[in-house]
Amino acid sequence: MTEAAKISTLIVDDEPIARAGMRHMLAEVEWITCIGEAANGVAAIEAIDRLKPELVFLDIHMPGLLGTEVLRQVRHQPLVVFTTAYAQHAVTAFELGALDYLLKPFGEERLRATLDRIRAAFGEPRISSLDRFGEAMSQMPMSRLFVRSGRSIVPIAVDDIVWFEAVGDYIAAHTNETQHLLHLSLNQLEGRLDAKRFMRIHRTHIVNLNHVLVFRRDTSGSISAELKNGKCLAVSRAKARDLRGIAR
Amino acid sequence: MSRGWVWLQLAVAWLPMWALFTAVIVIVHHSSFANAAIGALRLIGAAALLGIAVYKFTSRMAWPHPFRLAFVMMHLVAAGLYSAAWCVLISLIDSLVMGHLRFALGPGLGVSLLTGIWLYIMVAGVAYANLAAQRTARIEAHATRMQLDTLRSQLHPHFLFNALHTVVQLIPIDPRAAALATEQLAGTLRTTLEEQRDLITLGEEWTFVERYLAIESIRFGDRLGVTIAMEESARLAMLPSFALQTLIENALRHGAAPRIETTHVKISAILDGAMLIAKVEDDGIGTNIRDVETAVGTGLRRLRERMRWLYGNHARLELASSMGQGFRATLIVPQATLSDGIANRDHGNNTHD
Repeated sequence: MTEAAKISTLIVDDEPIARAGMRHMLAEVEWITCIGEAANGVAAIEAIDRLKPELVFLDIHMPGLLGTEVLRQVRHQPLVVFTTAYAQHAVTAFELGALDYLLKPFGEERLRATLDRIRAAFGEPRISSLDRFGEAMSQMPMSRLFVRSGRSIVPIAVDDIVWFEAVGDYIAAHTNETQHLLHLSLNQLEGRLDAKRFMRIHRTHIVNLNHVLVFRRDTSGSISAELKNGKCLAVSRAKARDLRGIAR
Repeated sequence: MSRGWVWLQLAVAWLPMWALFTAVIVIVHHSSFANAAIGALRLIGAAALLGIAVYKFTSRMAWPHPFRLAFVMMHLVAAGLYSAAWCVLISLIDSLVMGHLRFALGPGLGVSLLTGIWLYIMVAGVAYANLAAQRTARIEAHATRMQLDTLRSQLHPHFLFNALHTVVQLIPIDPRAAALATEQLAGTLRTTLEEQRDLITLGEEWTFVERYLAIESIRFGDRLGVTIAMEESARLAMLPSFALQTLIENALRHGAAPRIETTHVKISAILDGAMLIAKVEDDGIGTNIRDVETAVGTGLRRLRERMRWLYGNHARLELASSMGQGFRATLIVPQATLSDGIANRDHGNNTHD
């Protein structure tokens, strides 16, 4: 697992123990990396725009500036999970596009549900019905895959996937080094991928265009994709027609 | 109120009526003052004796809301009975004094009966007025209790939720500190839920405040500095329960919480003669003092109202602040006018000697 595949996270809370506690809990999450902390609203804006985290745990009642105001004023827009003892800001928070709203006090048990939702938002399709919300909240195309390896969850940057291949009820996600099995269908996956970078070239193949060296037509007229790692993937006849359309 | 006191009040209440009847007899019958006074005494004595029954009757017949005709009818019947009984009782007294049966009322039966009804209305009127006064007193006592309840409720729920969050987060990081914070939180909670007294000693209030401050200090971290200057002799002085906590909570919530920099809170208490002077000062953001004085439903406002119930005009809560200049609250409560306060302090002094 590369460090870059982990979700960069910022913790914002005016209470030192609350920050330390959150850092402690997140330290046990393999696919998250804490890149900083901020203790008030003004510092939070500065940190978000400078560090550009993908995820922020944001307290609402802080000196100087409310967490909800922070979110209105930042230029970089990360995914946000609000943490607060006040229930009355929930509507505002979700209007601002918050992914979740953690009511203090909370511990690892409640945080786990939030983590599921975060993974759904970043790219894990259909973990459970609850996380449809996370999936729905996320307007961005999938950026990560979360692969279960034993008891831990490993993040894989979608950029590193060379191609997806349907294998029975599973999908094999091939990287240059290895492959991971995902329990979902190619059709489900296709909807969440960035259409500019991923192309369904076959009933059983989705290829990452960044890893395609060239599309080649052989003597029989069928087209195949030659990958940068030397491998060749067949392109179906219907998709070949689409390809030709694009080429022209 | 003792039983003897009630009888004395009853006697005093009937005195003007006795004087009135005496005067009427002197004027109408041209009798001597002494004779008239004795004659009036038997009339008023009988009326007062029967009046006790009327008083009991009215306390059972609550004033109807909405007003009902049946209520008037009941009292008309009762008035007739009272009046008749009065006439009979007067005759009975006359008969006993004279030694033979006598039934002769001075102004005639009709006028006597009307006078009896008039007396009934007087007694019932006074009785209902009295009941209303008692009810008002009960409502006021209830209001004071409500003040304490409201005051108590201002501590939760967000203080509680945040404090619990601190405890939960401390558990894996520093279990020992987490256990201590839990004890302090439980102590704070127990006091707010169980304290029923309106007045407690400063020492007791301080025990509560110390726990409260310990939890808040963890939460604020180095954004909060607290200095304490308390005269040892002031520990036994009495003050309204939660008064000091209200002032400190005010300093933390409105002075320290909105600031990024460290806020210093200075707490002091001295005994100045018969007055306890407790002061809470902070160098926080401060406020326009006029806004605080006119604000409704604030902790300070509630404390002031409670102090008015408890001390009348003898206690003061002085507030001083301006924008960016911090906030100072001075609580000045009398010790001498409160009998139990003095008793406690004397007791304390004795144990010191």
